[in-house]
Amino acid sequence: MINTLPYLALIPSHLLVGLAVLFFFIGKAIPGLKRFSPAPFFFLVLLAAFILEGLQEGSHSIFFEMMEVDSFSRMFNQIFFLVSALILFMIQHSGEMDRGNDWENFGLLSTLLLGMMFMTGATHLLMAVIAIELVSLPSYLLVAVNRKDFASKEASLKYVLFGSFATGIMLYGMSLLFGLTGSLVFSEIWKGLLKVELINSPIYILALFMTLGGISFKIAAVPFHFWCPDAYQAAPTPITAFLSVAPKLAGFALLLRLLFEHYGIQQAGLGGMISLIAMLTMTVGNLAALRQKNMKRLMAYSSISHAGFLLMGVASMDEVGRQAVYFYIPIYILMNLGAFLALIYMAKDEHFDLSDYKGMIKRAPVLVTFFAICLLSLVGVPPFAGFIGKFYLFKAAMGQNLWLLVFVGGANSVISLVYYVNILKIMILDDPDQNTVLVEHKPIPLTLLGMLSVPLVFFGIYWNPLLHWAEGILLFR
Amino acid sequence: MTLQAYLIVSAVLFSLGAVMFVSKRNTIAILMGVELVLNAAALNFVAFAYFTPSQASQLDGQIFAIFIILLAAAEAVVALGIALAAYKAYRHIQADQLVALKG
Repeated sequence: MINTLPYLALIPSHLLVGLAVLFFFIGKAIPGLKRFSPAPFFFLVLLAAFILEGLQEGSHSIFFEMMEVDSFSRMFNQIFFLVSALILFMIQHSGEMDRGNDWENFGLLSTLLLGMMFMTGATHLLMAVIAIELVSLPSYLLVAVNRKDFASKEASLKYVLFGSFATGIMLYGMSLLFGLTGSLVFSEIWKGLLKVELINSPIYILALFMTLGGISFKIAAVPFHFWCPDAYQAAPTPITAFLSVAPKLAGFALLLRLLFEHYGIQQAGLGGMISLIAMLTMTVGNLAALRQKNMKRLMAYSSISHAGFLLMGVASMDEVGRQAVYFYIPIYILMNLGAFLALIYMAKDEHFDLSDYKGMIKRAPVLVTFFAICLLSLVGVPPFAGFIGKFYLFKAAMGQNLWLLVFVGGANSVISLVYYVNILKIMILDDPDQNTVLVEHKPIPLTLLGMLSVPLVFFGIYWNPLLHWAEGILLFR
Repeated sequence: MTLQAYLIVSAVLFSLGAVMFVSKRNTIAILMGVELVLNAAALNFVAFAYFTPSQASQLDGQIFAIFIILLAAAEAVVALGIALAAYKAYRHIQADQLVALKG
């Protein structure tokens, strides 16, 4: 008797495959269909998939141990559906994307979403590679669809070159891991490494570092972060918002699952290796952000440094660290998407120069207040949720006695204060001049921005519900 | 032929690809370097699977190699498409002259 229950868990992914087929092929095959907007189809499928993910429970291994469906993958998938719904809204309110190609754009978005769902569930190196590629290829193309910014082609070209090279390095590392252990399943790899006693040998370090390289390309960690500022600056702003949140978190999901069985050989210094990457990532991101003049580029470096902070939770390599990462994820989504939504709202001819925002508070007081909440939360100033999220990450690192990491993280929080507060200074204290952006009043985006930024204040004061939610997420459970 | 011989060939392929990636200026040449790196990985997989097959699933390495070939093709399609779009915009695809974005 075959147990059909686990296969029901795949209905959300089937729905997304259907969506991609609809957008790419059926839309072309049936004339006249393209007159309709793809947004309602996309939204309905997202809603159905979100509800279906919520109905399941338990943990199942499917496709011959290639994927695992558990509370962890369900939580990440639901987050991706929510983020995509928000991005859908941003696309509707931004003039940067060529709406004539909407069917193709949404087709790319749904394949990207499918790739992220595979990334959260993968327990096999082959599945991980396919998932990473399924996320990467649409991202390269989506960066290039900005019709207002000429440079998007250049950014996309750089992105695809770095991306394919990072994939090559990752595949070479995986082949070495396969040679060392004779297996491609994550848990079998760690067991095999214990058996052959190759821990700390140079070839093991090399193989692991190369494999982690491909994933750190997805989360934009040093040394694979070069694509990030260019791609974020030149991509259409809704796509920038999407890339700064969803694929990054999918990369973290893959990283957490890959390292889950690593307890037995933690002394091997993998925790130290990841904390080294974390320290470099946040320092490089923050120092580069200090001298940026373009808002989107600044947000790109800020998202690099936030990847460093999230890596702190990964580096502690225990349940406390993972809980801290889960706890930080919704907060990160709220503040980052809030900031990008405000940027779309304040866009002037799709330039995002800092000097265009002088004295914005006199033109749009409510909007700037919400934006300020998001930015202060990104810094991690106490009454806002970002502080609590960072607090738990630091606590997890302290629990494993990673004092150097804690110290560097603290220093970086102070550095990040400088450039975020500089934005607020320009917006609030400076006087408006003829270059200042003129904002027309649009109630719907403003309401949504409020819905993103008010919870940041709420969770900053009363974060128990969020903590309780994070405790319910367990790998393989 | 021993496993070592295959590993040396693949290491040489990998290094050549990496050197091409950092030293070439034309986008197409850079992509060729990337293909070399991917093929080095595929060669490694096939060699490991042939000389030290795993007991549980003996075809793992070969299947992985086939997927790498597919993946290289998919990546080449997307990369060349983007290179074409960049050529239409700039009339050249010299990677060192694409410097509108920096900082």
